[in-house]
Amino acid sequence: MFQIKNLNVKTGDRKLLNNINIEINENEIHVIMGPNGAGKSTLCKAILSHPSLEKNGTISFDNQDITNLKTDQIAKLGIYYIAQSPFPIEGVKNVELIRTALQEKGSPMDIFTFNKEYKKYCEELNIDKDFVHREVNVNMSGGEKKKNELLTMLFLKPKLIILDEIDSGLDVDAIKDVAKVLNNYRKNNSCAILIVTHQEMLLKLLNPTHVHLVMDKTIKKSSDASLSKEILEKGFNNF
Amino acid sequence: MSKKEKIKILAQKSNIKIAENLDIYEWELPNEEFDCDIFLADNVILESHCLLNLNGINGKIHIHCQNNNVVNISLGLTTTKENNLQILNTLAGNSTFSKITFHIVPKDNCPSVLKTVGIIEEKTKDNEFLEQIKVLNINEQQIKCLPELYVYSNEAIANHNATIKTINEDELFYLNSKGLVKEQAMDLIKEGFLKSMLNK
Repeated sequence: MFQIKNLNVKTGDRKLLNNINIEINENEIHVIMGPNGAGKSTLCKAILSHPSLEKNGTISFDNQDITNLKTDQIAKLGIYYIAQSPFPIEGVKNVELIRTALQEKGSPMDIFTFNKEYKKYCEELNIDKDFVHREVNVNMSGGEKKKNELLTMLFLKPKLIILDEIDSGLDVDAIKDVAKVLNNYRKNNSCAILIVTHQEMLLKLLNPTHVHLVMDKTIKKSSDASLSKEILEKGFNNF
Repeated sequence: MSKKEKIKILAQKSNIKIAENLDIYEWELPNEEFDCDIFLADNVILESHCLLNLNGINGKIHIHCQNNNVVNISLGLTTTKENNLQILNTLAGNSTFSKITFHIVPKDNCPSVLKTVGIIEEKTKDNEFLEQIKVLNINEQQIKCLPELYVYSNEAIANHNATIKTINEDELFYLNSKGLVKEQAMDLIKEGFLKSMLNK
């Protein structure tokens, strides 16, 4: 479904990632762990072709080479990214963004269906029903921003979800809500998840299939869920 | 409750007297040169929150406040062609609150001049005046914004500011990552910028 082969990423003369290799299949959850500045967020952004990053190597999704595609083209293929700090868009309401994104994806939704769906999703996310009428990530707490991003995700129905520290800014109850939404989504849709996190509770609730340790700009070790326990117990210095 | 009205400003010299609370939902400005004085009676609230395209206009709107007025005007302005617009607000009485906000998106490369002038006259007290201009400049279009303030009273609060913003890379990346192409993302940002003060 999704493959990264020999990926190198740089910005200007600065090397940020070196020889990254990951393969993700449907229904898998891959966790990226690593110390600050290791390149975890860079990896997420590089997959989505952030304009500040130069990359070589190959990234493919559903047997298509997406290495040099633009961000919007990658998103339209079904890759959805939630950043660590989702950007606020002043004056643009969620409803406008979601409906435009659906239109762009080729799945426009009439307002009646939209209203029906968003009420269902708001309930699932445990958020107020006026959320869709709020400006995108404006005057929202950290937790609200993350739930807001998940609301858009539920409408866009992606096949690969990339989550960069979704747990930051979330309280204990919100982490449970987020895990529940992701697990429900996985149950009802064919998808895979790539998540950057060190949050023990979220790891337990999501039950990942693979864990990758990113250190010194590369993947130092890959294994099953036992690796996350080892990292959380020993810390990064012991690898 | 305010009466909602569309206001039509005539060419050359004109006067409008406002005796009751008014919410202007649309401004119709003439193509010829204009000079319009708007006089508020005591205790009147004047509001206007709307979008307006300035398409080659040249004129002056002067709002005259007396006692206990509230003026709250926030306009989302786009400019096409060359424009020269002056909005003046004189606070001649006491206890008036006035806030004028413009969010501007220049749409072509014709240099426009937008001047806002706040005047708080002497021997007045308890007046408050706030003037804010924000410009979203995308392709280095030329626009001249002049927020001026003349305060002749010591018993007043007056503030003005002007800021220019551009669209940043992360803002575009965010919208692109939702599947929006660059042009669509920029249109959404521009529209949002113009409407942002209406939502507030």
